[in-house]
Amino acid sequence: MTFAGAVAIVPSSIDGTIVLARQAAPSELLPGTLDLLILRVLREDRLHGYAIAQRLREISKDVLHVGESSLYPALQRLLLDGNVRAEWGASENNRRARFYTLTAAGRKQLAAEQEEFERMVGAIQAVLRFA
Amino acid sequence: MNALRPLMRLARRVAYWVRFGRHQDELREELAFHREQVAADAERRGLAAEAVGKTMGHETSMREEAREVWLAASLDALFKDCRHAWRALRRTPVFTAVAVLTLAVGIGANTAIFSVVHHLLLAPLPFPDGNRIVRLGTRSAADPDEPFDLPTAVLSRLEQRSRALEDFAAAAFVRATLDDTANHDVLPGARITPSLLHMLRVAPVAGRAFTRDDARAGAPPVAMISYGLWQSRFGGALGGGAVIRVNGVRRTIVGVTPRDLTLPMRVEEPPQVWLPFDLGAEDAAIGYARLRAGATTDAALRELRTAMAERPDPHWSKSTDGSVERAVDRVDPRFKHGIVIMFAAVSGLLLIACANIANLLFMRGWTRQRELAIRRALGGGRFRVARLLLIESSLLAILGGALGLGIAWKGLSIILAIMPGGNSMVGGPEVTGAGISRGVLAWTTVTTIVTSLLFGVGPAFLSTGEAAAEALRTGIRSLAGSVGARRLRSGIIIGQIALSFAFLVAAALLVKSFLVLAHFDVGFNARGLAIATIKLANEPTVQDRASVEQAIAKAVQSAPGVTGVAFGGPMLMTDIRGGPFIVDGPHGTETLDLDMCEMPFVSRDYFRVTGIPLIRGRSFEGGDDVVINQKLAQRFWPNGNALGVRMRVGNGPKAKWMTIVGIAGDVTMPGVKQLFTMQMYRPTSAATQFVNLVSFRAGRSPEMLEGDIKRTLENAGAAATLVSIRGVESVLDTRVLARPRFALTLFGVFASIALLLTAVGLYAVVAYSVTQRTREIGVRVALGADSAAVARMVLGDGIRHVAIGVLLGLGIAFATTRLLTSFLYDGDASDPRAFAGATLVLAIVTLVASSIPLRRALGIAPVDALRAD
Repeated sequence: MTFAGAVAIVPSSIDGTIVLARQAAPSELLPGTLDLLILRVLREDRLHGYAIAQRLREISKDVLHVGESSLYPALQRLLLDGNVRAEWGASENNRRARFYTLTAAGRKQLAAEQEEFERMVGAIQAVLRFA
Repeated sequence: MNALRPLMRLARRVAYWVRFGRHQDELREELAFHREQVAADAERRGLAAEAVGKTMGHETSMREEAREVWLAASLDALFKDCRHAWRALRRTPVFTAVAVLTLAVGIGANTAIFSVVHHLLLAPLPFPDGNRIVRLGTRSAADPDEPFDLPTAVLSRLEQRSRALEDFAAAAFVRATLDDTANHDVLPGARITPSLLHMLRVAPVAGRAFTRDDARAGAPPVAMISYGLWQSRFGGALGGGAVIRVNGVRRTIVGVTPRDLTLPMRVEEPPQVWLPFDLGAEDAAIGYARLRAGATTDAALRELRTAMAERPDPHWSKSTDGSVERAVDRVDPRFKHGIVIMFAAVSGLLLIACANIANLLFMRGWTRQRELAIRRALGGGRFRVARLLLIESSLLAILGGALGLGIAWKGLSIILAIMPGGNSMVGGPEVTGAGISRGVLAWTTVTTIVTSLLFGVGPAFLSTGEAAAEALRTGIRSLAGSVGARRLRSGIIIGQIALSFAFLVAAALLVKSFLVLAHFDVGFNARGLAIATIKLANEPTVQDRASVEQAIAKAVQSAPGVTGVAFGGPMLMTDIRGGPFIVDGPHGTETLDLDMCEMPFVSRDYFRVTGIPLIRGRSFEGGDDVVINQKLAQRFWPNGNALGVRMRVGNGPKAKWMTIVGIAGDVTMPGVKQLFTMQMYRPTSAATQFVNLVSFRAGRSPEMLEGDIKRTLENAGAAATLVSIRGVESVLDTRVLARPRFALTLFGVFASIALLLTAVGLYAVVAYSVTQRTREIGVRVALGADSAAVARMVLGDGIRHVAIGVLLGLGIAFATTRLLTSFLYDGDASDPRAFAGATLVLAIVTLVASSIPLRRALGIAPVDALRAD
């Protein structure tokens, strides 16, 4: 159940319609969760956009389907903040693809956000348990 | 590290928008790849296409959102800041109005005037490679600015062997009377060597240029005409063999010169008729040539001096020297001198405007320390606060700049409308083509706007975090009360007073000079005076001359309202020449060096009719009598014993001995150098030609008598016809006084603007600073101080500021007004009234600016004062 809340934060992006930051109701809870997840998968690897979505789906056991309409604005946001870096390279099937790498600032940001997120989830759980 | 983050973000944002297209392409490609992968994946997993499509969002809105990431935050904040800044400016309408108007006037007035100056000084010559063109002439110590003709012998000698110059040409101005027109029109003309058009690198627009054969003696007479004359007289058509009668000679028109062709550096009207002459002929003219590659004007001048030394001319005086000037200095040096002063004045005004803006913004920023401190305490970063101030200043700058552009536009058209044309006697080039110079506009705009931004944003950085925190903690409502702040405030006010003082003094001197000009005493009575130019069918013999003169004088006199008639015309610079001046003294003959002297031939009634007073002696009786003016008499006979002296001018065979019988008053013109005002009047009988100028005095507008005089002349049977009548008063007005009046009008407008800006700026700064003391005043009153004592203290501060400021300003004023001296028509740059007046104005402005907020401060209850800020 611990992550159910977190999953609930992003349902609107699962079907590929729009969007975390735009739709008021779900994002009100914990905005920026998608950014955090992207940073997290990029910590291990240098990935292109599609691979990021794939990786999120695989790790979440097919629960998190991140659509392009939320994925790419999130990536732009991360670029703007300097948390990731993008460069063009060859994909596994030898196509030109844009690969994202975590920057030093991104690594710090990930650590900070992860800590903050866990604190928040802990707090929510505490409230739920009490109830 | 953390402080850098917003900057890095800003840099990335900027980079994104700079390469917006590329980023869009990248995103598109990235997306295409993504979709391809999704499709491939779906196929692999055997999903239907619709299902796949469902996972894809709307591409456009997605791209829009991706774009907004880079935009939204900053733009939103920008709008917020703009709204905020606008509200802040609206809250202080007086400050805003003063700042915007100061900016507008600073930008507008300066741009308009700089544009004219720019056009006059810096616009390139209209001739290809024109900066290599030089003008060759002579000049003397009397007026080093104005070159005179060179003997053609010197020019042709120079042409044969010059290493510095090539493409020689020469020109001499003539008056061309067109005999075949109804009114015998007199047009400006020039005699030119056939090489002239080639030297200028211009080609005739129709027909051909002169050839060497045209200039040869005995060649069939030919002429070229200007484009304007071609259009007006010949309707732009010119069949073979069109003929024009010029100065009594029938000439075939061979070609038409380009539109508005004028000679480099000549200030006269563009010639309408061009006649050929050969450099080999005995003559005098202004020379033109082109500098060879790598040659300098100095080298050319050395060559000219050598050529002059080999063929000295009897008319030259000891101080006569060669003159080689580049044609790029197309502006008359006297006029240029005025322009330089105007340039300085404009720069001074710009400085005042900038100082005003700086002081205003600085004061405002200073008094807002508390607001800024609160903003920072509430988490507004220094950059954020600076940005807010920056936006406020930018808003001011944009408003002021837009208004200033309008002023520049309107101002330029007004200046061009009132500017005297290039046909003025004192001279100046045409400026009809002047538009707003973009470079000038950019310069004034950038100067004022940079000032406003610099001083607008400065206070954000002045307030260190600690000082701001201190201000909040100790409850000091405004830092304006601290000792350092008070010193700074005093410094600003004193600086403003000093600068204003110097400018006001200069302006006052110029305006005073303008007033003097309006009542300028030319030395004769111009009212009702007119000059008729007449033309005789045949030149009378010397014996007949007196009777012809008498007949003409009688005829003119018989016209209604004419009270006096004399030969000769009181227009300055009609016949100026210099030369050795030989005096028969008690110790034998003595040669004096006469640089410049006006030597008109006049009849004996001339002095009575024109109103030139005879100070001593009498007018002419015989043909060997001569009358000189006071200036000439004082120069050579300072002891006053000039009467009865025998003298002659020049060494030539025709020079004859004459006796000084009278001393006349000086005839002077505004703007003419003192040395130019020597006059020597000789009787008409001594002239080589019949004097065809008749001065007469009549009722109010002598020009109206043209028909009457024409008729009386015809009836007189002296075979004389009237060519033209010019009213001396109107000629004086339009030709001689127009240019200095124009310059001084500009200065007058300028001085008024300066006065206004100065007063407004000083008022704003002083009033602001006293307003800031409201609380202090309240405290003093609350503690029992007498209001009169408080008022004395505040006003005393004002007087002290004025005293120190004026003292500093005196230094600046003395330095700058010395430059003005040559431009003042009364030449007096130390008039104490100007200095006193400037002091008075500044003192009044300061006291008024102090007392209004002071009264308000004293009038409110101490409790309110303590709350006030």
